Amino acid sequence: MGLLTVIRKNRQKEKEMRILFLGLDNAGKSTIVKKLNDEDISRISPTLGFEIKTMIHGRYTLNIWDVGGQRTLRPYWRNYFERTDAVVWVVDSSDRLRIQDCKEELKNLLVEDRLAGATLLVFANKQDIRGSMSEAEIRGALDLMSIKSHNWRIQSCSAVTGENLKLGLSWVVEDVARRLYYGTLASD
Amino acid sequence: MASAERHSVFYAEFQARKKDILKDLEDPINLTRANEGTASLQKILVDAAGDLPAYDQRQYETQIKELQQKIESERNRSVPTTRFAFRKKAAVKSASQGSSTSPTKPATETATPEIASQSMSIASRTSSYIGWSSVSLESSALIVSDLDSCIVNLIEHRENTSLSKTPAINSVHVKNLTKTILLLPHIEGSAILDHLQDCIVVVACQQFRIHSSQNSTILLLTPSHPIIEYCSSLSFGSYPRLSSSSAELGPSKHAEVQDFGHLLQTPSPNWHLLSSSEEEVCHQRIERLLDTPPDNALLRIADILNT
Repeated sequence: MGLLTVIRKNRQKEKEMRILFLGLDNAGKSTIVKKLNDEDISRISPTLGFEIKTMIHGRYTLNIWDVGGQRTLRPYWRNYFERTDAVVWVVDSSDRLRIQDCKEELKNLLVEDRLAGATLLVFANKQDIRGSMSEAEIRGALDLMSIKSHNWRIQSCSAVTGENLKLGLSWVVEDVARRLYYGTLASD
Repeated sequence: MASAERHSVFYAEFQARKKDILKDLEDPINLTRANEGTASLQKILVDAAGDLPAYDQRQYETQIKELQQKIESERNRSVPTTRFAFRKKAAVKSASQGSSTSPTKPATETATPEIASQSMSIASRTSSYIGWSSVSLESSALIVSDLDSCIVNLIEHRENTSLSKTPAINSVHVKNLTKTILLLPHIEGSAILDHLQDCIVVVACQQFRIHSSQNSTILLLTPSHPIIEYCSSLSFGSYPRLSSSSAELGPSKHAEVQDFGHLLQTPSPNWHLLSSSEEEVCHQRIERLLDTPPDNALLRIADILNT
């Protein structure tokens, strides 16, 4: 039995995934996580540290880590990288003034060794706000086409209306499952 | 040996070797020795890898990387003077680096104002009075940037009947304001402000964040904790009673500011709450300002800001 088999067997028992929600402050990370979990989103405060949510998605248990995005908190993101299966990068589509900041932070994230191989979903959030940047505009502004190191996708969404949130998460789960539980999928 | 002790031994060893390498780097003749030193430093780190906390290991790796970069740049500096062929190569390399980075930067810089024009934006004005009439209503995302000595009044005027209903704003992004008074109505979403100097901001919103700002007064109504980061001399007070919308929001946490630039248990020196008399003075000034015609209001900016 090779090491890979051992790892897969071990993972198979748990069928767990660790998903990290990151992005600049005010992107809507907590609102997305709460909306996905059917919680009230009308009274969300800026996240001071981090929050963990466990959700069941199909046959998988998702451990979702929602980490605060204030500039002061960003150096601490690295403490959450270990064993991360997927990163969900949340973008405030109405924030044209900081889109360059957003690009830089994402770029820094993608060179992290411990995130190598992690699935990347970019949520172009706040599409309910008129005048927000479109999915195509954000793909260009963040230079997503140049990402070769990660399996990525961009999904426009709105945390307030819930539009496309489940769709994006389903892609993340499928992509991680294909990688981690490959070979076990058919037998299930 | 306890693990903490082993860590401090490793730390001392690492720093001593690093010091030697840095000394070697001062003279190009010792470049090879510096390189060998770095390699052996890397080896002891790899050997100790299982024993060190992940964060420490990361720190050590960064330091080694820095050393390697220093050696590399030293090498590039010394080589071109001895061999012409390398010099040419190096020149080509730096030229191609230059061409790959420099055109992309101006391109993105020029692209930003272009896309910003599609949103409800107020930008690059001096000594202007800006009301609803000069704002495009195509968007519900308000962007305010680069204003000096301006008044932005998007609070519905009490006697103004031309606007049957104040257009909805869902998000506010503000950057680079000096000596400006920003009057905003109830925002459905959040407000985020950056680089304000000597300003007054009046806003009611779901979430409030302000970064890198100095010497400004914020009259705020928000149900969540306001966030300040890299700020100093900020004054917080309540939102003036101007319209019915402020009552609907319920209790406000404008007095419970969280300062990310001051993570200690002691009170933050970067902000304070206005006393009730100071707050009253601010409210009266804002009310009077709303009743003043634009031209006169602009003349009074300095008086209002000088509190």
